[in-house]
Amino acid sequence: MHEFFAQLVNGIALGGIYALIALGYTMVYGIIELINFAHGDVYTLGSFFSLTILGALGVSGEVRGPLLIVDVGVTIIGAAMLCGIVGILIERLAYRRLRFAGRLAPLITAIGVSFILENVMQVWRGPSPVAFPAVFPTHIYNVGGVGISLLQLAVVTLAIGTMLLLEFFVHHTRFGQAMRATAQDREAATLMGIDINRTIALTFFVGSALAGLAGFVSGAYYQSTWFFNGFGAGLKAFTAAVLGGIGNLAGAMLGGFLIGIIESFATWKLGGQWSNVTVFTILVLTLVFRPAGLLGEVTPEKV
Amino acid sequence: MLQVEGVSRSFGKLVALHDVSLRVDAGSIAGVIGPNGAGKSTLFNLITGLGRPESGTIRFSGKRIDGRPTYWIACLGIARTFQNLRLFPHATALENILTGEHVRLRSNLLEDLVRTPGQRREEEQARARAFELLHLVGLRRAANVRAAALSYGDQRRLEIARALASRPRLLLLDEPAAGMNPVEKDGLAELVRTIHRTGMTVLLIEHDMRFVMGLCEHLTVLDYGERIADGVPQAVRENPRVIEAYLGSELPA
Repeated sequence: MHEFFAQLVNGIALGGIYALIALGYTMVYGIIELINFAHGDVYTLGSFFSLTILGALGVSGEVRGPLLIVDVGVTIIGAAMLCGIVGILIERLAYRRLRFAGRLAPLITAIGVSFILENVMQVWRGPSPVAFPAVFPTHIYNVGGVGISLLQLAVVTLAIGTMLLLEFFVHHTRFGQAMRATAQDREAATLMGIDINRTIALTFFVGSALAGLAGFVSGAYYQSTWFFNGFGAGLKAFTAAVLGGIGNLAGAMLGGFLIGIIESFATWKLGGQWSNVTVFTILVLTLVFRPAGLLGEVTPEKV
Repeated sequence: MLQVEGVSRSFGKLVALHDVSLRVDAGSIAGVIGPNGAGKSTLFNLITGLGRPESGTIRFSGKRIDGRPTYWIACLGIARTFQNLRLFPHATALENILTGEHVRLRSNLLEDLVRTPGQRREEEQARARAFELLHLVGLRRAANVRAAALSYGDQRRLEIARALASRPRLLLLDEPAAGMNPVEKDGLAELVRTIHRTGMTVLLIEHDMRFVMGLCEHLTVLDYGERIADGVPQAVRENPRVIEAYLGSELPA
């Protein structure tokens, strides 16, 4: 029973990272119906940007006290902004011209962008895993016999906080309104005076910034990163988005946590070599039996 | 107010519009009529920036608008409805109208996130105006109903309200009476008159001769992409080219 809860905590923390990435997949899909396969690599880029910023701040290990908040805050905001800008550039350079070219061309382009990013990162940081400083204190809180680290708490808080902020953004700001309108009917939206190029660019910015945030979190969590990290994590986050109902924000969040928990239990019960099999079996089963995803029918509204 | 001069547009070998000119004076109700495929909707698309003319110019309040981006033209003060409805189906009636008001709101992202007093006041005003518009088209009680769940006639009226929400100076209605029964059509004509009385300039496309004859002050007739007549309804109705080319026996005596 003890192990059960320990694995649950692990799964929730892992799920928080997937959820943050899945939000980006689902936002972009919601607005232009594109599976942005380069999204996972933007997440990796986020961990590398974080490394660079931490290096510039002179952080190489555990930080205590108020400095922790300052250092982590600066790193997160910096990495998120940089990833957001990369997201805008990707959309501008690779996808915008293909907006009316059917669905296959942008999809293949997305895979191409993914390869480019992976190779750029390999040249930049080398082909081997890179150590990431353990910025968070390693103290473990004992909650009813289950150990929870500050880092795990931070991951879950960040994921849920971001999700709430995003819900507010989408439903209570003019930009969110523009996004929802663009997702539902692009032509009608532009006739309402909405600049859809700007709206789509903003969607890429927000989605990519969230991936950057996830990149920092995963770096701090695993204390290492790797140019190829985003491939696997991206696919799992994509699975999470599909499981929750692609185009649906709450669904991406729910799917992310579920996939994290399932992966964590699969690793525990079946062994690490079975975790991917389990996750992608879920993807296949979702696509076959409930293509709209768990929340797909309840709230069919995209973005 | 609106001047279309010598506009042509073709799709492949099909000439949708050939050398079409049209004027809409401020404060008037004008109509474009013609059989299916005459190029009426293409003309509306060019005016609203959903395509650019191959030749000719379109001016609105003296400004060239042909080939400009759609959202820019919308901001300038032209709003439209569609022949086949283009509401935001998953949004409520109220949200549809609020989206229409989008273009006139001023708050920026930061103000939205911290909810400054100015932003709140603006939002309240936007909602109040949205309710006024719902009232105008008789949908006040349907404010929180999803657009897709409204009846066909109500959806048409909601689309008009949404177009008005952007506070346009020129309202384009693309076959507003399509699919309506005679009673609904009378109600719609009354609504268009009410809107016109507020000082709005209206340009509409229509099939139904009876509907436009009673409503419009000026008519332009298109046939196979060419303007074959232009003038007051009575003159257009008696124009032999119009009778011959397309009205034929349809013409009410």
